[in-house]
Amino acid sequence: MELVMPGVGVLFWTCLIFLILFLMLKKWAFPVINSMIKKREEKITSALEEAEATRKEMAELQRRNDEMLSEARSEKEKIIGQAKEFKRQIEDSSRQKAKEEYDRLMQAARADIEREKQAALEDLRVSVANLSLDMAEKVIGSELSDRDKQKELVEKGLKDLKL
Amino acid sequence: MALGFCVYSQAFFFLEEQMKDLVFSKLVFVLLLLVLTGGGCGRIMAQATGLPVAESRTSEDRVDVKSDEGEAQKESFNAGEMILGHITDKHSWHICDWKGKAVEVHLPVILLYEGRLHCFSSARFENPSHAYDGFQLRKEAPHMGRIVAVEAGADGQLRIAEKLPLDFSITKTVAAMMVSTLFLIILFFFVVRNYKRRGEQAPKGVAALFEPVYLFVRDEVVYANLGKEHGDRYLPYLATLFFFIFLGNFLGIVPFFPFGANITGNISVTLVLALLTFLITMGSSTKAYWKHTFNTPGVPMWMKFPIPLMPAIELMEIFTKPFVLMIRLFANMTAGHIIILGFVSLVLIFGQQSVALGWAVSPLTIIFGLFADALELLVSFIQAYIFTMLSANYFAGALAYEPGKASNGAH
Repeated sequence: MELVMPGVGVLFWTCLIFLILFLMLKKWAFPVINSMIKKREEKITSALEEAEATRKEMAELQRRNDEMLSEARSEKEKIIGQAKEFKRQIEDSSRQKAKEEYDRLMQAARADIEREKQAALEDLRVSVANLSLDMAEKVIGSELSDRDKQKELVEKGLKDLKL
Repeated sequence: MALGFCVYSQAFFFLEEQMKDLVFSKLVFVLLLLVLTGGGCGRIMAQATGLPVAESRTSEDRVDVKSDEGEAQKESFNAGEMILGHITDKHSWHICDWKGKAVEVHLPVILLYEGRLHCFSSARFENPSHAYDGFQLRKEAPHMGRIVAVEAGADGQLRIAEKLPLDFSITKTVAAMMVSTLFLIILFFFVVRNYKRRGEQAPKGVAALFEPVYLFVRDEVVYANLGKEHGDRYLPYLATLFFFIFLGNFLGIVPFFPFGANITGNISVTLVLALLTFLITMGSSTKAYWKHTFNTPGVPMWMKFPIPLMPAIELMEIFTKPFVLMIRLFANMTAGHIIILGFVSLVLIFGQQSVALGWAVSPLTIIFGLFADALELLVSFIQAYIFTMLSANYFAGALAYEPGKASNGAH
């Protein structure tokens, strides 16, 4: 029976000891332990968050890098394409110009030739007129009364002749 | 042994996090080793002294045996008496026997009788009549093991006074409790120092051992029942409770001197703890709690009126809860001590029959004793856990706090 009969002494001492222990731990031990654990937990959480953020940032950076690289590549392609186009254009235009120049020169040459030819013809005509008059004079042997008039006649005839 | 380990590892199965598991296994191993070595020592000692019949009285039961001064010298070993002597409270702390003499610590006796305080060492009772200064330490039937006042009757004969003195002695239980509390304070001193020194770094040494247990109490017991907000308010009490009970249980199984007393197997101790839980429950009770008690929702009206059946049951439950808390811890720890001591006395009992039989039984005793020790280690943790868990649960009930939809009525 003694086993299950509470004794006043043990009750009293247990109360005292437990309360002293409780107050001691509450005032002195638990605040330190709790704050340290909490701080550490916060630190770990923030570190994890930071790591996550860094990871994301890295991924973002990588993505941007890739983007930039591909952009640069496409830019390069574009530039090369443009250059090729430009080159083609230059070639084309120079070819065109050369052709034009050639045409122009040819035309000028042709005009010159034509002009020379006309001049030569004119000379020829004059010479022929004079020559024929002289010839006719000589042939007929007589002096024509109005030389100038005759000359005019010949001229006219020559013009109608149209070489 | 393997079974003991197996049971052990299962008990901590619910600590999901690997880290906790790791540190816990370390802790468990160390504690187990401590208890086992301690237990082993105790066993071997008991065996050595227990074997020869003639010397059986020099074993731990001597305290009880030698007290029966007037009786015959050679009465047989009484296991029940020995066990009861070990688990009940005493005014002196028996350490061991040395050359036929009991080595014990005589604890101070503090008595309050008729308004006067009497303080003296319990060594004063070491005389044939166990009497000193008008008090007597009873060794037999009425008030056995207690201190009574003696007075001269009308016929001049000394007789036990009607009024019993209030006994505030530092008994074995109280002394052991002081030791375990001191142990706890030293532990916390190192832990706090470690935390202060290492700041936010991971704990090391004692703190690394301590922290998983503390976090377990905080997360699995307190926060799980009370949530974070309420939990932080009750955490100091519940954590103190847990460590007090755990260390009380645990040091109770360590069989050598400043430990080994049946602290938490003392009904007064568990009564105080249960009472504190009860008082805090009452102190934090809310309107919703009382409404739930006297007008339980979901119960048909005829159970409440005209005969208040349900309220009566609920009201009773308020008191049975802490009562059961008290009985559970007391009974578990006492039973554990009885089992271990029972295995020890097995050797003594058989040794009385014949020396050879004693030797034959001893390996069995050692195996079973070790098993019982391992089991007790498990029980010492589980009981501390259950006590704290249920306390937290009752507080949650009083606050009418329901963590999510978790179980709110674990009994």
